[in-house]
Amino acid sequence: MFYDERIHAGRGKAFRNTIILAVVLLAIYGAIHTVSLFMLHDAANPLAFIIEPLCLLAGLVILIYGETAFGGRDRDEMREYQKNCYYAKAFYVFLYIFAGVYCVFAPIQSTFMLGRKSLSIPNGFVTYTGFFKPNILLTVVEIPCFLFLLLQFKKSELPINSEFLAEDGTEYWHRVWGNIRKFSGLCVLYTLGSLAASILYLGITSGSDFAFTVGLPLGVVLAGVLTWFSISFEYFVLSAAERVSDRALQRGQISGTTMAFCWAGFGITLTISLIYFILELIGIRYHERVLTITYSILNPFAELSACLGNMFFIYLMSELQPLRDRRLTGTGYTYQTLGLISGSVLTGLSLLGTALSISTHPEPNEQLPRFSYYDAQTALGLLIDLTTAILLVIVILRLYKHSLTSKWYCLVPVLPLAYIAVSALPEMGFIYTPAVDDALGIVTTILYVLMYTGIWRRIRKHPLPVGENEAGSADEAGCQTE
Amino acid sequence: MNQKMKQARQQKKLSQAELAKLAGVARQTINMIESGEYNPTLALCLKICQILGCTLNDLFWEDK
Repeated sequence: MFYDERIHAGRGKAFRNTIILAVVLLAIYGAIHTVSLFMLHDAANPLAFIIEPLCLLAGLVILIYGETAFGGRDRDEMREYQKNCYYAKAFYVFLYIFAGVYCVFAPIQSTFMLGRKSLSIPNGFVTYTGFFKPNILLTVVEIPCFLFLLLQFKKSELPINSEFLAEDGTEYWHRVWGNIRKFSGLCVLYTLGSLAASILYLGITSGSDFAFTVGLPLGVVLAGVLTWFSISFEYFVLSAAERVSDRALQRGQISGTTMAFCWAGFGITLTISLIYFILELIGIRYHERVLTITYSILNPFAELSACLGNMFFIYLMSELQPLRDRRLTGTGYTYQTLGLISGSVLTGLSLLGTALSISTHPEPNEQLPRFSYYDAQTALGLLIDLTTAILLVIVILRLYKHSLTSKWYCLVPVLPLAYIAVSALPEMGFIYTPAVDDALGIVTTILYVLMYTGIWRRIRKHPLPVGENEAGSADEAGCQTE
Repeated sequence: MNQKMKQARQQKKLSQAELAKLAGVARQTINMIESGEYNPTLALCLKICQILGCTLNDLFWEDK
């Protein structure tokens, strides 16, 4: 891997765009969060407002300093170079601040909210229906990271461990382990900070009950352990996938990375779906304790599978670059970006929906409001699902055009939506059953694995033909139809 | 330290500010190139060589 100071500085532009995007997302998310908290009449709790403004402030300070210190009339190539170097470093500082603020305050906030609402602390701090889930909150960090990767992969491949990917096996794993140790130290530091803040908070707000006093520090420690496990495990698996694919690449086998990510991600998704399916069949999936335990254990794995899925799609789009099919890559990137942003939007809407439903909760004899925010949230979720399904169908059709897959796979993204649409019409006699939904999830996952493996085998056997600059030029570029 | 560039500039009786103005960069950039703290791009190297009437080898090739 060729890696020098100019490539490092060149990443600065992508880092700068990512920080801007993260700041915008934070502003939107923070605004929704603040509105929902006001509706919950929780304005008196300072902890509730502290996270987003702090991260937003950090991002703004980094951006303002970068733009003023390295801009102006004296701007030349050296200033540009220094600016890029600054953003390359500032990005990591921003991530550390971001993660720090979240790790210190989110668990306390989460436990506080749950404690206030239910006071069923032993189950409360990691309950599935919790208002804030520390691991879920970290997705706000993951979204800009993946969008940054998206920007990077448009230009060239950039593995996570690029700086030491070329080292021998022992050295490589030694460096990976070193990074995990560094992160572990950081995690311990943040958890201790969070613990100190929670104890301080408990000291200030005297009068809390015993369960809450015990549950808050315990919740903080558990959140720290979960975060550590989740991120360390994800990093370890990604490092293994990168190493395997890099070795394959050196032997002249392309697409090794793609399939390493694909199989690992889908394998995890399949396992989780099977576990839920079995629990559903036994009839204990929605039992409170089972839900709490499965959520705590499976959530890091679900995050990892989403993470691998994202990585895989980015790699796939990167490997299909030689086709020069703008419609394929354009639709692919739009699909991926929409998926990432909708995650953030839906989290915000979920908060708003919860807040509004609580604030407008009807009295026992009161009539239910005609329009529920949950309906709006579900409708928006379905609209996003429908849009992403259409985009994926376009991608599959373009892949079919290049003889990389079969057109019948177009049915795969449509199947789950069709089931939801049919079960929304009770007069047709269909009733939505989670077990059927889970089974459908397992079937579609297997079909996706078959489709992507087929693409991989096709690329490995026949190197991609270099297409023209315009879309729909595969035939002109000499691509043979099977 | 890029002594060769400094010497070539002094032989041409140019100050760092004058050379910077001719090359279209900031004075600090010339100062940092001469002190070895910044590696200029090839485009800027060529521009400096043209202004000072030297070749790339004369100014930027390091003798072992």
